[in-house]
Amino acid sequence: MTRLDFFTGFRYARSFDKWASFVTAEIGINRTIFQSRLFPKLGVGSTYFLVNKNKLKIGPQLLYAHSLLKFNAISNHYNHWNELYIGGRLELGSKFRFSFEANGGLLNERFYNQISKEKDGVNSLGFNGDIGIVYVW
Amino acid sequence: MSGRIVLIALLLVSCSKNKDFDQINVIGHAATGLEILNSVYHDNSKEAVELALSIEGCNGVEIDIQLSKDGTLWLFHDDQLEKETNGIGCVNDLTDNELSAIEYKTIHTEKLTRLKDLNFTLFKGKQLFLDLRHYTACSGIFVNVNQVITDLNLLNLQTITDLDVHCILSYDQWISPFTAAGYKVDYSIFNMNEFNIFTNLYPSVSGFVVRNSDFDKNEITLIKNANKDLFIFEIRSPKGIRSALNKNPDAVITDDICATLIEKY
Repeated sequence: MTRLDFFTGFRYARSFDKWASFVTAEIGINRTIFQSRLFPKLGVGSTYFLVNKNKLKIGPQLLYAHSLLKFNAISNHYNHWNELYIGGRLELGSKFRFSFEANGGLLNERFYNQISKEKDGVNSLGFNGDIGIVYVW
Repeated sequence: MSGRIVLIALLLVSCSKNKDFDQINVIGHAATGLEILNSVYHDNSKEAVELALSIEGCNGVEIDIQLSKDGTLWLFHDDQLEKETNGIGCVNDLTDNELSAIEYKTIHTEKLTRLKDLNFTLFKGKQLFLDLRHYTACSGIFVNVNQVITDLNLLNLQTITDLDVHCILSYDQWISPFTAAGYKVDYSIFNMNEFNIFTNLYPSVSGFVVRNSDFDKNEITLIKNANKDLFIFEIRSPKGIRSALNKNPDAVITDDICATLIEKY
């Protein structure tokens, strides 16, 4: 099924030396704004900054995200997506930073199968790219 | 404060009610959409057909059909095999054995599917649109219509309970043989002039298949008032889907089933 969307949202991260753990909360713009159907996504993950300088941070990361969407408003069933991705993150700047990341990996979709009348699932590959602005406390 | 306003605005747009499109069927174009980059399975594959039919609210699929050298019907869209598969040439020039060995260039490496290998028990209560190719792209000659009908008849589709089969044609010489064989024929047209011509010449045509951009709402109403079924295809974006649904066709043949379901409900 098609799930392509542009997500916007917030990310909260805590740094422990070279490690940064984070949580994210986002919504899909196409579905939520242009199709009036709320499409939330929550995620957690961790980045290990191999380059950890004042104005430059680069490192690999692992993240998991879950999103859900109801296609058919009169149904009780939601489609659920589980994403387990690895990728890389780059942060430029000191107090205010620009961030860039790219991730890819396993994408599992769970949905209600109208033929078998049971929950069903398909696995595929997924990817995302992310551009953000970071403020450091 | 501004954050609260944004949140409230999001909730409002997320809860707005769509128009009532209950009577319009949602049909998957080439199963789960044609040439969709992030589709799980390749278009016109058995896997894509089964996935489309399993989506809650999907009323059927449209699939592209071509005749093999051995005279059997296969699901495939493009003229030539090279771009999407590991095969070479055209479906019409290859035997069933050769086609059986061909796979799509995707992560699931779906095999080319023979029409008779679809699980028709899954189609109960659904619509099946067969877009039948009448020419051979490699050799440039017309396909033998009798061979197509013969292989189609072997499937006994009309005896399957609660399955609504439509044959989409774009070659007028095929209309009479198909209607004579008892199949519902939907003809591809591009303007109202063609509608008038084909309605007069071939009253047995049960419906028409049109691009969303080629016909406005008034023209669609005129066609439906002539007691013809009307199916709209070439719709991908939410805006296009909304525009097609607002024209009130009998079905939309969509490249994005899920976005269409969101607009419908």
